[in-house]
Formats: sequence, structure tokens, C-alpha cells
Amino acid sequence: MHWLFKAARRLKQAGILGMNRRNANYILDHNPRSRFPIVDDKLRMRDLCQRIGVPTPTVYTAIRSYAQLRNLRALLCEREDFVIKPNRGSAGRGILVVVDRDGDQFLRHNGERLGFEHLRQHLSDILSGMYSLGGRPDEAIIQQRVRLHPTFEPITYKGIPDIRVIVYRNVPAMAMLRLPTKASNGRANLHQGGIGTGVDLATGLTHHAVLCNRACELHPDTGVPVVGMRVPYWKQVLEMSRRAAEAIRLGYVGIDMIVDADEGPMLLEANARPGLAIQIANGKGLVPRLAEIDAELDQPAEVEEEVAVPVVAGRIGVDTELRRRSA
Amino acid sequence: MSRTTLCLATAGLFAVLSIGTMATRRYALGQEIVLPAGPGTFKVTMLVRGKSLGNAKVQTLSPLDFKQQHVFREEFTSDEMTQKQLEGRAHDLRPVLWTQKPGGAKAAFQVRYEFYCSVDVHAPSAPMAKLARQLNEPPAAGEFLHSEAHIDPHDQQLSDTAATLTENAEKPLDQARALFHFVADHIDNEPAVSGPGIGAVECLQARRGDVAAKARLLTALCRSRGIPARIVTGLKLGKRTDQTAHYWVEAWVGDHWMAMCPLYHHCGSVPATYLVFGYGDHTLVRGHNVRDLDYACLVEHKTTAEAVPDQGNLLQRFFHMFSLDAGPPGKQQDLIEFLLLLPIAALIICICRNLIGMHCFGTFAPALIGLAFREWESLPGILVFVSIILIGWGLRRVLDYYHLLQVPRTSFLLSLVVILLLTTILIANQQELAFTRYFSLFPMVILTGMIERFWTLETEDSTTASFKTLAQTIIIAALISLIASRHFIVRHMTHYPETLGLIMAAQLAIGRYTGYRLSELLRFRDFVEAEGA
Repeated sequence: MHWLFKAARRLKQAGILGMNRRNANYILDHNPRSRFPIVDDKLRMRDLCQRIGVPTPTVYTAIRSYAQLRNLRALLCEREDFVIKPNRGSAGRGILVVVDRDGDQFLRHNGERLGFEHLRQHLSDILSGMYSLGGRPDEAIIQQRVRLHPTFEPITYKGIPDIRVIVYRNVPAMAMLRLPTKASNGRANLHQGGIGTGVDLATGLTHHAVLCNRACELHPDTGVPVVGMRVPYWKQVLEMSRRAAEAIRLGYVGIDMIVDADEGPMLLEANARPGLAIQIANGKGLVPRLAEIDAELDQPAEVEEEVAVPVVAGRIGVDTELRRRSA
Repeated sequence: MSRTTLCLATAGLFAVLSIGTMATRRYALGQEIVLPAGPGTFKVTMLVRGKSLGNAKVQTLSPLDFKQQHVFREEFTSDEMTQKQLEGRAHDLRPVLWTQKPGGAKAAFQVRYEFYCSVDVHAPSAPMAKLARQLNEPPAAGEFLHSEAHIDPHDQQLSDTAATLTENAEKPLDQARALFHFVADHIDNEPAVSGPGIGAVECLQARRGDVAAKARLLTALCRSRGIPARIVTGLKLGKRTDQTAHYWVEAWVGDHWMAMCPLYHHCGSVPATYLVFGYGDHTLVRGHNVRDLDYACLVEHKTTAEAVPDQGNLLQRFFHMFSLDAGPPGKQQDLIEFLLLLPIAALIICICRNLIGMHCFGTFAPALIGLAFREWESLPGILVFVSIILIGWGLRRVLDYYHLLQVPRTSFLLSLVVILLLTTILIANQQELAFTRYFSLFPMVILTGMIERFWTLETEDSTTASFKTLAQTIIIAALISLIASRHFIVRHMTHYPETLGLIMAAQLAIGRYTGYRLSELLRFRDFVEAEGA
């Protein structure tokens, strides 16, 4: 019993954000329910991003009815690679990545070969709501496949790494880079065996990495160090996340960014209930950082609302500069 | 005011109201909450003993809840038998069927039935009044006139006697009175012994009989004169007495049923302490595959001054009116218990999920499963449940090859679950296992949903994750089942339903608990160790 209290006290000292506190103090207080449909709907998200000038992967086509599946061949054109996603899916459910094609044979990113019928069945499952939140009927989107940026090549096993940025009150609070491994089957999800690496907000350098909740230095499949590498386009990644969060109007949001080899950073999706594993990846708790942002934003009470936003935007810059100097 | 303060203040208010109501109830009613008392309130304990010849069945009768008599706090207990309340055919009986538990040996058994009853209810509830109206309706043409076992109104000697006795009476009322006086005054009383009863004709010939024989004689005499008459089976409540069944007669005298007790000389009406168990010539206890069946009823009555406080007190009347004891006995009491336990189960789920950090299939599914398995020994029930989930999961994996659309697929799965349950019922019947008892409570749709989610979690995450979640669901359900089957908890909740306020206060408080979950101490253990180093 005593150990439990001691453990809880230590976590508190480390500033670890727990699930209850995240829900009660951040999600319930800062994320109005009415804004959830926007982040849960990838097509609406894409429209919003287009409006604010944040690039997203191109949507080739959206399939809304079973009837459309009959023309699937025409809809796919002669595309060699694409990604099929449920429009309102979550946690990477129902995503099918096709990297190559030979007539009616499709090659998945993990080497599996699929027939045309299998593809149609998968789309039909998506439409019937198998992967959507709450099992409601859904739409399927066929999207541009993002190509692996050369920087990530040595530290990726089949698949594309993504960058999760937690944006709190429109200020980036913490970031991590998620790397797919053999164990995660090319997916970048941490609990499925992907690597989580904490990224320093100021420099974009990875500074800490975990694999299955344990600290690690090297990529298990490629043997290349994952700590100390610089994420390309880091400033744009942060700036785009901030702009997206502002437009979505969610106070505590996880923005997932991806870096394409040709087109640079793109917004993949947003999450209104971002997970807590980012703390393990960074080796530090979120609470002090969130308190810092609160303190910065609440301090100039005299300053009018309109002025406050640009001040915040500028502050990141100041913050970065200070960190650099101190580093 | 911050949200947490608001929440805690509201929780505090709920708690204060709840405890306040409890204290007030306790102050107003005193011991009466636990031990109902009053001039017209009795506690009756029926004890049945016998030896099973294998697969024993016993049927006991429960008193009716009607007119001025109200039955509450019924409790059925037996180590060897399980009980089931049967719906009476014409609402004129409330039989309870006791069956030997599966695997029971040919051995002695004991059954205990306990209840409280008030026989001086001034304002009967709507169901009580409705049943009284039904049972007091005038007889249909020819009804209550025919002969039945032990009652033969067409016997020559009997009809001659009846004719002679009613020579000078014309109205049915006067005729019935004359017949009553004959049976009451000229037939000697005998004590009742167990064994086959004496019929009306034998009683007339011998000029003596026990309570049942005299009632049969009076009924037969009335019927032979064309007066509809029926026997009432019941219990005569008195001071601390061991009792067996009491029988009296009601005769339709043109405009109402007139009650007559030839044994104790009551004509026109019987005292309120005549507790009605049913209409007709019934035995209170009957057995099948049973030897040496015997029973007795103990009637207890508290009349001491402190147990009978001032009845006119407004507070007391208020609490009596809003007491859960006021409802009809039987199925509704079961429902009330279930409803009272549901918030407790929900609180346990809050604790398991938000304080401990356990995962389960569905938010309240463990509550329903836990409460469904509450009554019977939970373990076999939960094992059946787990095997159905696992078999269903296997079928779901096979089904995956068919690539069916979601809704038809789950419908198909539901049908499979139904077949599984039917098979279980068939096997249970052949093996004489009492599984079927709680199938009505079985959350079938929840079961199907669980199989589907079990499979989804398996494909998306891992088989380990699926089994972990299933195990945690079962642990939560077992915990709920364990707590909800505690007798004192059920009793406390029915005596003090305002405890729900306390439970809601706890739920509110957990609703703003922002500390760590127990599982998070494990999840973030690297930080604990790092800080410690």
C-alpha cells in the first residue's frame, strides 16, 4: 500500500499526466463535443486544411455507396499505389496501404498480395461501418500514398513514420516521432510495437526513444541509432500543427503530421483524445509543460484578446531562441 | 467555483441528504425498519422437512396480497433446493416450486420460507384492491356447485340433512346460517393430523371432524342447497403459535361472499388474523419424490409498547407510504432488488475502470452479467458464459472467410448464439442442471456484441489483448456478483433505499478524480524507477 502512494507521488513529481486528469482537466474543459465530428471526419478535415493552406494527402476519390463499388476499376484508374481509409475511422483501423499493382493483383506495404475482390470486400466493410466510431455506416476514401522521406529510410521498417504533436491552447506542447517496426507490421502505433521517439520542440532533434515502454537507442530491425536525428521541415511541422489546431478550435489536440519525400510536411489527421504514450517517448511528463503554457497565456490579463494570439505565436519563437541559447 | 468544487459540493449534498433521510427514517421507525411491528403485523416462518427420493420437488403456498392483508419481505432459503415462484393460474394462488439442486443426493432436505404480513391495511394498493375485486366477483352460473374430491353435495344422506336443516329458511343467507350452526354446534371438533383427509360424507356420518373436514362438510351442505360455496385455505395468526393450515368457508349469499369458520364459530365474517393463502381445498405443502414430508409454521407477533409507536405520526406515515415494503410481493420485489443493485454495480465498474484502470467489453455489460449470476452459485454460470463467448469467437473466425456485410454478419452471429444457448438448455435439461433459470436474464445481444468486439480487438490488436480484456470483464462481473449476493447489502438497500444518494455521491466524486489509475503506476513505472534512483 505504501509503495502505491510512493509511486503515485513520484509520478506526480515527474509531472506525468494520467488518463483521468487528461479527461477531466484537458479534454472536458478544452474540447467542446461539438467540434469532435470535424476531427473524426477525414473529408471535413481535408476541406478545413485546404481553407487554411495546410497541405494534406490528395484524396483521389470518396466512395459513399455500395453502388459505386461496381465501378471500382474505373475509380482506381491505373493507379499503382494508394491508401484506402475509412472516413471516420480511428486508431489506424481499417487502413489498407497499396504500394504496387500488377493488373488485378495489389501489393500491400507489408508484402501481402491482394486480389481485386479482396479490395472490394474491404471497401464494403468500411461502408457498412466496421471500422467507424460506434459502427455507424461510413464512407471510404482512396488517398494518395505518402512516400518515405530519405531522412527516415534508415530508421523505418516498411511503412511511413509520422509525427504526433500535442497542441495545447494553440501552442505546441510536446512532440514525438513514431517509427514502424517489423513487430508493428508497418504501422506506427506504439502499443503494437512501433518505436516512439521524443522530439525536442525547439530543435526538431530526437532525444529519447522507447520500444514497448522501454528505453532504446537503435532501431530493432535496421540497427541504426534513432536518437539524435533531425526531423526535416521541423519549423513548418510545428507551424502547421498550430494553425490546424487553431482552425479546429480544440484546446487539447493531437495533430498527426507526415513528411512526404516530394511534397514535404502534410497533415494526416487530428485526434481529439490524444494518448499519453508521448510522455514515455519523451521521457518526461506533460503536466509542467501544460502549466507553463497556461501561465504564459493567462499572465497578460490586461492585454486584449485580439492582441493575445500573435503574442503567443511570437512566444514560441522567443522560447525556441532561449532554449537554443541555453542548450 | 471550480468544477471540482461544484462536483464535490453536489456530492456532499447528496451524501448529507442520504444520511439525513436514513437517520430520520431510523428515528421515526426505530427497530421497525429491521423488524416490522404493529398490532396487525406478524412474522411467519414456514419450515418444511423431508427426505428426497432423488429429484425431489416441493410446492409451498404463499399468502395472497389483497384486501386488507399485505405480504412483504419474503425470503426463501434452502441449502438443498432452488425455488421458483409460479404464476398462479387464476391469481387465486401463489405457489412456489422448490426443486432439488443438480447433483443432490437422496438425503434429508430443509426448506425455509419467511415473510412478514400486515392484516390491517387501511388503504390497500391498487394491485391489492384489483385482486380483491377479482376474487370477490359473483360466481358464474354453476360455479362452486359441483362435486370435487372429499366434497360430494349429491350424496343422499347429505342432501337429506341439508334439506331438513333448511326447511324453515328461504333466503340463501338464512339457509347458509342454518347449515353453519349445524356444522359448528353438532359436529364435534377434532385436532388435525397429517395424512389423508376426511371427506364431507364421512364427517357427517361420524359426527366429528377436524378443521378441513368440517369446512368440507359445510361446503357440501351449502352446494347441495344450490348455494355456491368455496373453501378458503389459510393460516390463523395468533400469539406465538406453531401452526398448520386452517380452512374455512365462503358462501355466495346473493350479494356477497359470506365467510364462516365452523371450528371457531365465526359466521358472517372471520377475524382479520385469518390470513388467506388461496381459494380451494389446498395443502400448504406438497411433495413429489419425497418421503416423510412435514411442515410447521411459526407465527410471531410483537406487541410490546416500544415496538408499537404512535401510528398517527406524520413522519411515520410518510415513511410507511414510501417504503419499498408497500409493493406487491413476488416478481416485483425481485425487480426492485435488481434495480437497487444496479447503481452499486455501476459504482463498482467506475472504481474498476477509473481508479484501477481495468478494461472491459462494454460499459455496463459486466454489471448485467454479474447481476444475472447473482442468485445461483456464480462460478458454473460464469463458466457457461465464458464458453459461449469462446465458442462464438471461434465461429466468428470461421465467419470471417465468408466476407459478410456487417449487419447480416452480426445477425448471423446472433442466430449462432441462440443455437448455442438452445443447445445448452437441451444439455442442461438432460443432465438435470438448473442452467435455464437465468437465461431469461441473459443479456443475449450484449453477448453477441461481446463476441464481435472480442474478435475485432483480436484482429486489430492481439489475441492476448482480447483475452486480457475478457479476463478483466469476468473479474469485474464476478466482483459485482459477489458483492450483490451479500445478503446484508440487499437487505440494507431495501430497508434504506436512500442509500442510492450515497452511491451517487461516490459516483460524482469519482467523476472528478484526477489522480492516477492503479494501472498507470505500472505503465509509467520507468518514471517511478528513474525518480527513485
